[in-house]
Amino acid sequence: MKHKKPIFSFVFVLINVATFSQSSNLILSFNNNFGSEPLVFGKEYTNAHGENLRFTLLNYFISNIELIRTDGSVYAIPQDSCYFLVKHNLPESRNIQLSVPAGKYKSLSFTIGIDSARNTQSADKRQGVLDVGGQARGMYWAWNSGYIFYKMEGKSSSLPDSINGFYYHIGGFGGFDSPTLNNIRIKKLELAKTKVSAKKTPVLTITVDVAKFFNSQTPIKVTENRSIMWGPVSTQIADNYVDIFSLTHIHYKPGSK
Amino acid sequence: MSFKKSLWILTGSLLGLLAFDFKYTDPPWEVKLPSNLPKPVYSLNDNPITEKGFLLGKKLFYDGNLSSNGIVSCGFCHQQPSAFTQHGHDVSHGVNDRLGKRNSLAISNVIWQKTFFWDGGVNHLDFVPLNALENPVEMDETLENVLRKLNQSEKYRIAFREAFQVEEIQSAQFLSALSQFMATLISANSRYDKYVRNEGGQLSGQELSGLAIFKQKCSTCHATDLFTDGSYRNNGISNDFRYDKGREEITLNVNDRGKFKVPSLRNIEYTDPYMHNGSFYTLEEVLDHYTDGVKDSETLDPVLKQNAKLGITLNEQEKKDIVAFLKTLTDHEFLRDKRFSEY
Ligand code: HEC
Ligand code: HEC
Repeated sequence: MKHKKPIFSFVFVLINVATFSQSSNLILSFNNNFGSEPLVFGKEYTNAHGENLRFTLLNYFISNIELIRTDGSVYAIPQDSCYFLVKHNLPESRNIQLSVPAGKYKSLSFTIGIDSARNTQSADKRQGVLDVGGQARGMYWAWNSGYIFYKMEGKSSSLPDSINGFYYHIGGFGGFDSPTLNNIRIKKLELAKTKVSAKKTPVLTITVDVAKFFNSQTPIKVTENRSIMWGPVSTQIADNYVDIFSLTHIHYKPGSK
Repeated sequence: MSFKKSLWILTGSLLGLLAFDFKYTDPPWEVKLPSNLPKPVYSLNDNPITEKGFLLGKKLFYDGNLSSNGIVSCGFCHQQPSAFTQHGHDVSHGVNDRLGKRNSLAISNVIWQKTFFWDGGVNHLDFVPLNALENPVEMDETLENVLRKLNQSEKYRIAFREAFQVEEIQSAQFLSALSQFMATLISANSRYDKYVRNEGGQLSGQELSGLAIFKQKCSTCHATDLFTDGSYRNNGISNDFRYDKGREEITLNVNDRGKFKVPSLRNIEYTDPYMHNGSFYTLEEVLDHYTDGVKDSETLDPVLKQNAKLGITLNEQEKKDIVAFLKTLTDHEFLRDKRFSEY
């Protein structure tokens, strides 16, 4: 009889872990905007260079999320469950649900894109949003193998021809056996002191202002660069798109205290 | 509950787990690593090869339904009797006779390769098939559509269930199966191998002389018993890279302009035409290139431009000896191995 306890508590721990991982207690909500307006596909916008734009596609990877506590210690979301693909046309993909230990957090960081290690791993480690024949279809280069981190397409009547499409496919994890473009960018957001617990679920609204894509560190004009994929300009674009992400609002999920 | 009883339950469930996990119906495929080759790069632990996985990979490799016109299989361009290259085509030839821009590469000893393709654009064997599948001048398909076709086939669903214990076929299993087949394509039983491993292989006087010259003049690049150092170099095939910049297309580094993968020379007798653009049809032409045809350019490999002289110095007899030696790299067992053949 005296051996009963350890087995019992082992089962108990298992149940505990299972219930903990099911419930999320931190939500990142990505709101794609153009300036102050919500982004709507097909609607016409004007960028800082006076060019007309209508968007048809916007997808980006968010990965390797880390939270920094007020005491400076870091909680990294376990890597295997830390790859997300935000697709503008899939509203549910814009909310990233995380479960993190209770505590006070002062900042958050994430990778826009996919780390170099995962870009070179075997097929069995590339499932879910990383599945190149499934959810990540169109977000992968086969000939120069690696994920496309950020993909944005649309039409611009400022372009002279009848097709008038623009295409931005930005990837590049730095190269496998010799260095090349590294467009992995890390975004850090300050959270002041945000409390998270099992009962308190903060919702962080991250506004993604694609107007800044065209006018941040480097002005990008569709009439000059309508199709950017594998080349040096992609690096300027990656530097621009770090700036499109900002934390605009924090509220607690209704019901959480 | 008594301790004995809980222990019994625990042991019982562990045994159950073991029985579930133990794929006694699908024995592991033994990969024999030749003693004269280094440690492989590809992790066979990530994708353990089993008999069912291998057979499934082979079935996929030879299945024309993987392409948009139902005809062009992997095996269409990678033919066993030609050491898994496309015989007789300078550049590859795909769906509806569309031509590619480069000569197809042999598939053998791929688990020793760090990077794939003439420009090294692909960094993992599992992701090599994607390139051919989705290229409009090769198989002109999409992985998504191939998976749809496979999931519609009862036979494939059963084969995938048996090999990977899945109900729905997804990219991971499809790519792992093809890798399992390709990983087994090991060629290391040529007469040369049997000579260096002391397994009774004999080389003639001429072949031995060829080997000695080869070691001196060629093995900087065609190194080790893999016959490549895995690097990218410009061996002077061309000095006009407008059409194909080679390695530069991947690294975007001008110093890589016109550099291509140093290919292995195993089974070279059967992998003609030669070079990334298929510009030579015979080994004699290749040697004439190295002695008299090397074209100068900024990225030409320094080994081929010593003392301000272009190319490699060889007399006619030495060339003949090298060709004789190169033919000892033919692995007839590999080229005829029934386990790998389409029919
Ligand atoms: C239309 C012809 C064609 C088809 C079909 C084809 N390949 Fe290839 N394959 C090529 C060519 C050409 C190359 C070299 C291309 C390059 O380097 O740019 C190549 C290269 C390869 C390599 C790289 C070898 C190395 O040493 O780097 C592998 C592996 C390979 N193919 C496997 C496959 C598989 C698996 C399939 C089927 C899914 C397939 N191929 C279908 C033509 C083809
Ligand atoms: C400076 C490095 C270097 C040296 C030295 C060198 N090679 Fe090569 N070899 C290469 C490269 C790189 C290629 C592929 C070039 C291409 O396709 O553009 C190649 C291709 C070949 C090919 C064609 C292989 C195929 O599958 O298409 C043969 C055959 C060959 N070399 C034989 C030799 C012999 C024999 C020697 C010595 C006389 C030699 N090489 C010396 C780098 C070298």
